[in-house]
Amino acid sequence: MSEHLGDSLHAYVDNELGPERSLEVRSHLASCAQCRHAYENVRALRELLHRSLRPAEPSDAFLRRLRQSVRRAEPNRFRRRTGRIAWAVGPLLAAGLAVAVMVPALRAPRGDLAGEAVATHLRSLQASHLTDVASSDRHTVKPWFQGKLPFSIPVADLRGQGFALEGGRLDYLGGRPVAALVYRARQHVINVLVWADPEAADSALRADTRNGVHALHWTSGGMTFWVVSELSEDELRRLAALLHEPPA
Amino acid sequence: MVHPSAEEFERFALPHAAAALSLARALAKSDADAEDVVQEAFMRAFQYFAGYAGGSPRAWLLSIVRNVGYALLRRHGHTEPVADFDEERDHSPSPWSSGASPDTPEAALLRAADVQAVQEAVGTLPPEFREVIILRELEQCSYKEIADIANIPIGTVMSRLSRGRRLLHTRLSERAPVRAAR
Repeated sequence: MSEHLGDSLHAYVDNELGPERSLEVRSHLASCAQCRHAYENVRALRELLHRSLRPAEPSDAFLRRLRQSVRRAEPNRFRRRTGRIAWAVGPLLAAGLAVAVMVPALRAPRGDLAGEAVATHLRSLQASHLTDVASSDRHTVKPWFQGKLPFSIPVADLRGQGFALEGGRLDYLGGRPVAALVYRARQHVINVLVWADPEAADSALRADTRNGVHALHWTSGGMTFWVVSELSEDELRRLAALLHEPPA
Repeated sequence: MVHPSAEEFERFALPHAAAALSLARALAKSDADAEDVVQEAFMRAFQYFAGYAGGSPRAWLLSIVRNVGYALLRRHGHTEPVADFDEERDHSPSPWSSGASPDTPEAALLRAADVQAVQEAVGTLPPEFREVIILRELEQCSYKEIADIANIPIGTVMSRLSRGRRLLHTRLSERAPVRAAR
């Protein structure tokens, strides 16, 4: 082969080439010492960058400032208020419509963590935003969270036990960023919301139900878990037990 | 349609505040400027939120952060780039291209470089390269996401990453002997 790899070497290292092109690159690398050398350099540089680049950590003060400025920028308050009224009477007028049932469920009063967790779950089903990282491989999902959250979370693939890992995303619960792990059991989606608070005391499992959605939660070893789904409470308790002591 | 509430927007946007700040830092001169860029971007994003058409929330937010960041850069006199950056200008014979001898120990040299040197070298890159490096190596965006965020074709993502890495490598190898001589 005469052509050197050039830019496509980078796409290869980044895992962004299709299978055919990757095969060609591999066979070129096998026969071209110069490109192999360049390949080693790209990989060494990437390792160095991963080691050296630090994600920004927004301070609490900055996050507060962000929230305040967003609230100040809330456009067209009048239209929003009439919108709220429409949402409030909607369920009465159109009790049979799923939309009317869903909309109030998407909002929860502050401090009602079970309501918020269920609202988070329902939103994840509605939006085209179930996962930010879609993978059934816990070795892909777990590192994805690193640097995005100030804590590390346990990620278990429980496919053998009937709960297939589908991926993860960042979400927001009770005023803090949380990891959302998405599992599927049969056709049901399960959101597992996790965050770390080293100060939090252990608490036994509790189950709540809102709008037919179950929300189980407990705290153990400084990690708080919320398991939310339409799946039966018994099955969710089984998942909770597995998460509590994930198989090695 | 009813405009989403500030609370709904916060749930959508705040999980990506760190990524937004990382990208803003790649474009702004100081941490304070970067925070201002993110703040301005979030206010704009909130105003456009009703028109958000789905897709990756992170990519959508970061594209707005980038626009605000570049507006600031332009105010500071930066002109946007670089369609045909002259790479020859910026490198002596390098192991990334033909003409290098295959047994020079650059990989070992890179492994020995320290964190601060790397951060400084990234800081000296032109913003067009710095942003793709940050998006790829720190935020682990796919080429498609970077293309969406920076509003450039995927081929340009690839060539900017490739050139950005080459520039970084050159700068890191240039400083290595200086540091060793101290």
